Amino acid sequence: MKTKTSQANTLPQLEPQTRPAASQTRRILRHLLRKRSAQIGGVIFLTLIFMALFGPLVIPYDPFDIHVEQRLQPPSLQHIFGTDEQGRDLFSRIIFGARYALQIMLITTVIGAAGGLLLGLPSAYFGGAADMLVMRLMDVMLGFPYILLILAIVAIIGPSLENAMIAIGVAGIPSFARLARSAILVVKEQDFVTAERALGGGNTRIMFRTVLPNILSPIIVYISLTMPTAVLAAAALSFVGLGAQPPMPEWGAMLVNARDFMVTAPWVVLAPGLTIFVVTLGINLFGNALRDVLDPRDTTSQKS
Amino acid sequence: MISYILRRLLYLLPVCIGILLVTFLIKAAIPTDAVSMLYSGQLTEETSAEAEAIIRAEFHLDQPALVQFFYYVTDILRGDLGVSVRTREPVIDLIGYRYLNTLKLAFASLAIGVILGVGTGIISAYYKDTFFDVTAMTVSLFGLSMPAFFLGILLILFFCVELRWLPVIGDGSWKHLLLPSLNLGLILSASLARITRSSMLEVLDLEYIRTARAKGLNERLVVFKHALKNALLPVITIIGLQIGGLLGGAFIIENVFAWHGIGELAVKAIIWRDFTITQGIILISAATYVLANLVVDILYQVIDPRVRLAG
Repeated sequence: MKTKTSQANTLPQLEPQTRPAASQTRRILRHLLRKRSAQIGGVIFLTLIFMALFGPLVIPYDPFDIHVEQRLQPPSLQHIFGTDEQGRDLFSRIIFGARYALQIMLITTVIGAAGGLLLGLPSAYFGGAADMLVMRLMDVMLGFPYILLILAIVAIIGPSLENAMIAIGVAGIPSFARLARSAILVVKEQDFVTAERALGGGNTRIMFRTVLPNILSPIIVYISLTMPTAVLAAAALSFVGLGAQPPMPEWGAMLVNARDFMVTAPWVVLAPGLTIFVVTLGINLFGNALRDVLDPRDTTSQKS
Repeated sequence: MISYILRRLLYLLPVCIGILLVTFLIKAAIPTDAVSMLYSGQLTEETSAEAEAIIRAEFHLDQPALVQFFYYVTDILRGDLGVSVRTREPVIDLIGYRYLNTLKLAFASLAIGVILGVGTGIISAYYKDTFFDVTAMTVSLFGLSMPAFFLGILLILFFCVELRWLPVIGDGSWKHLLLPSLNLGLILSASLARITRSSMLEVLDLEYIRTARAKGLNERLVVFKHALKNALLPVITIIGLQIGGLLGGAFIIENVFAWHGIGELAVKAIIWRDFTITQGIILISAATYVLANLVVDILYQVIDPRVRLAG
């Protein structure tokens, strides 16, 4: 085990991995779970998944039920987080909203990572004019500040939660494509790729079975680092009225009307705001730990 | 140097064409909605079709896409951003003073963010693993996870409601500028502090620093004179990239503080489907961002001779 670890650390790119070996995955997991930040982040993330999957079964009140006579109640035993301006139970709404948060993370990541890989993989692998064209296209998209690119896409396809997710995902494509491209440029010159080609492997096979598994770890690290950005962007869009719309208990959208009551009933603001903060913090903690474990070469690794 | 700037400008050409294409797409994609938003509920089916036809003709939307794009580009080259679909006011008049407001906000935030972030990063690296360092890095991680608009609400609650130091809704004076720029500056300083710290630590590991220390130089001198010079180089690049984040952040934050910048208007324009305003704002912001990065790149050349040789 010991020799294997040191080998993986010194020659990370030279070790061909047609599929991640079970023992290696276990080793990474063990390293990861020893880190405090990964533990905290993991617990927060698992709680979010649990809330998204089983939340509706355990919530005390209907998140859409209006009880005007109960409006703006401070937090109490009956309403743990208090109630909003229409008397809806904030605790139930927050838990119900977890599904939107999880959806946002999954959909934006899938669009960004898959789009980036599908453009970056062949582009870097074949090079030439297509590579040029794809990378110039990515340059154009990166010519816009992130939020601005998202706003431009939302302006084109129209404001709604679904479109916000699409816009955030698409805005993430260029960075994924660039990351994939630079990783592939290194990997494709490695001996095991040449060997695979000599053995008669087709391009598609080499790209997806040989090259792809070897660039997965920077991609995974990058996913964990972009997810918080996506969550914050989605919340911001909903907050200004370009994402999820108010009756929907999406956390960013819950803050829209809450602003009017923040002086008399600060809990209406604090509940969704702190929830977004804690969830983002959790993914950030987990992502940082993951980067430290998966990417030991990265000298910029920061403590958390 | 001049050849570098020329080459850098040439490289901008495809980016500019791309930006024009993207902003053009905004127009092509939403004309029908614009009409229905404009006269929502006031028109019968028949008159609405007529209104749509009139507006489509007014904005050349009945022409083939290529012709439209030609009109669009020639208008912009003449400095004409068109008129608002909704109010028929020239877009340039609507954007003008708001653009200056957004720049004001962005620069104030940049100043706060750089002073706070770079300062914290240096001290954190100097006092690595001490209480200050651990606290600063924890707080900066909190800052990275904080929704900017939520921080804005907290700032309003604290400074305007709790302490009553500042007005909630302002008039564009410096008092009104204080909170939004503090808001964006704090968010910016979170990432800058972390980057400065790690860049500093990396440089402190290098041989020339060891030499300086071995010579018996004062530790403070080594850190603040020898190390800082090199450590700040990557930080400058990051600041250049963060200008985009700052602009984007301003778009959201302006809505929290009712700061009359282009971001506040952009959100309204997108909801109204007023595509000429949206186009104008996105175009001018993207141009600002590209220009800012150009300036940073050239600055970088001036500061670091090694890049000049390599470039």
